[in-house]
Amino acid sequence: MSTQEAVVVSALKVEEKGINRENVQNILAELHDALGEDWATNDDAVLTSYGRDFTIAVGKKPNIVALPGSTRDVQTIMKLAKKYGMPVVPFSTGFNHAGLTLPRIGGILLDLKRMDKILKIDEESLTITIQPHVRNAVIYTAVKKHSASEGLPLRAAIPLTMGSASTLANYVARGGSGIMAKVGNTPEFIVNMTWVLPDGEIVKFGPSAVPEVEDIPVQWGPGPDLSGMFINADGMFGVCTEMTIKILPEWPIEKLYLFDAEDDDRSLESACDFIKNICQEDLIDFIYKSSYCQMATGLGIGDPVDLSESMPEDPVMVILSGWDEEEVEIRTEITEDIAEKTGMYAVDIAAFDYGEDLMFEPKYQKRIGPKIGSVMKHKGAFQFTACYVKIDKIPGMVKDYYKLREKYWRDSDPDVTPRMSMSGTAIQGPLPFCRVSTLEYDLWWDQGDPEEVKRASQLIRKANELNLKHGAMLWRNMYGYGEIHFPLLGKYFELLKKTKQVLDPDNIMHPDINPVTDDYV
Amino acid sequence: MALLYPSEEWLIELKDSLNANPDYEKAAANWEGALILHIQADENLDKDYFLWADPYHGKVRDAKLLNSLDDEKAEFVLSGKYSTWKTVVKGDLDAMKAIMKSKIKVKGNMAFLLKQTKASNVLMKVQQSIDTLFIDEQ
Repeated sequence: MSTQEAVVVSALKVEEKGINRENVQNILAELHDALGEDWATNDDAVLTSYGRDFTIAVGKKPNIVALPGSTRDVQTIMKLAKKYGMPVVPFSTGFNHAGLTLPRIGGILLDLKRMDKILKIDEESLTITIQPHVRNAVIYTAVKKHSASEGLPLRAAIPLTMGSASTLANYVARGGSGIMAKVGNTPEFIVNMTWVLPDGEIVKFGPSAVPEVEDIPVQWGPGPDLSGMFINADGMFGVCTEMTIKILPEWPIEKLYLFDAEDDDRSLESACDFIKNICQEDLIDFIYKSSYCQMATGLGIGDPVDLSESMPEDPVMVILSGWDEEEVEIRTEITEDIAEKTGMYAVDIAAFDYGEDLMFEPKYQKRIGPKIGSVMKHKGAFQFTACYVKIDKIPGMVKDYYKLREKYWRDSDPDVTPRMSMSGTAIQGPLPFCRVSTLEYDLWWDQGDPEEVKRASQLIRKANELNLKHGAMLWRNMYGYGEIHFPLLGKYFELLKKTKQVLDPDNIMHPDINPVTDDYV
Repeated sequence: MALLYPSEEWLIELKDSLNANPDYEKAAANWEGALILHIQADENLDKDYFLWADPYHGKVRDAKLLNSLDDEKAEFVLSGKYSTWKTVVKGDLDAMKAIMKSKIKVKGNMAFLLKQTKASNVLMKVQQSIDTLFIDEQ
């Protein structure tokens, strides 16, 4: 399709999607009747704030912002949207690294912030039931008040991201928990879900779909399990208004360690060897290979560029836990033994003691999330893309990524070292007992600098292509993921398109987010 | 002629070399605060040494050997065994790495020191350029 044709198609789509002045006014009037005048608006100042975010994703202002207070409210909005052919985009807390809460065409932005309740914590089934705007920090605080048994507090598998981000949205988007190496990935903890479909029908998944069946902590319901279809669907199939997730016990004693490589020239290889060996031993609760730039920003003590040269290139954070000090001591000895064999050593964290240092608090890393403010504040925008891959491939991939960094990102000024260009890698996981993990490329960029916007956009796209070239699986929808991945999937892609056609024949749910309709641009 | 390490002569040579180095002047432009390098006795050194220097905005204003930690005020005290300092002076071990490995302990504003890596890197290079005779190799 030529550029001119695309412009025409796009204009037609907007009109076909029912985005016209009359429809907007009618929908707004009906929403005011149904929800109350306080909970729907087309005020331009409000719309503007939903049309952009901290990512490199391109979005548009919505035409209406609506704030439902319940599943029934969401149903009302969806039925209205279908009646007028108006697109709908769900928004839990709006913190999505792929810009997935930005409308691509316009329509109704469904801000779920009023749905912020923890509905139930069940100590018998070890589950918690939440609404979309319940945030990671809130879950952490609530769950720790409960116990599996005497002296064994409970915790949730909190996503490794901001404490202010939505837990439900992260689980739906197939995010990763901080304790991935121990317990696997977050969708594996989903028990029940309630979804409102594009036609306004409400559907329940999981054991509680059966009337009178209370929370049974298994990941499927009666009959063939359809719930998987809704995970990582990027808002294409409906809106999730309620979710039950498993929670789990937490050992009472924990300690955090930071490891660095003896040989700086082999820091990534040493870190990868260390991670591979550690995770076969079921020793640790949390492991995360960070980067010099993440540490420089996370320390929060000054300009990260100034700090970047003194940080370890590939530091590995580890949290060990156990019933008592003796158990933690035993785990520590084994871990340090593995460190020595793989060319790593334990950093003296006390050397970094300059007062309040959240970064080296176990609960900060495991539960609330390490990216509260400090990681974002370097330039106001933190961007990453990631994949799943065998650990053996990582050093080669990172070598290739640094070539991309050199070409697309680093300044030609000889006084600006590669480190000062502030883009590094992270390893989250790996998955329990195996030698497969995520690999993440991170960068910090200034949205107000047009050159950095260009470079960041190019670099992220090229990084995704690099991942595929090395046989990695792109983790989630990050910047063209659907365009790159889906055409490779053959029958799966056909079924995906048919599913979209069945569930959302009018294509009102977050249109143009993935290439699953013929009019995708 | 090689200068003995540790000694005041060696320290003065380091001071003069740094003051003649434009890279150091630029890298240490923000530095304020005297420091003491406390070289602790070990199997290769029979007593402690205290090297005091007063870097200020890219120049080292003064440097001398002290008899004890209390002889002069210092914003920073870096303490380590002689064998560790020897590897640092030789360039075999980065000072920041030595701190992270607990081989050098720091008293003072660590947050400030972490931002001085460029100055530290120039210092390392200048140290290695001094013709040095280590006291245990006499």
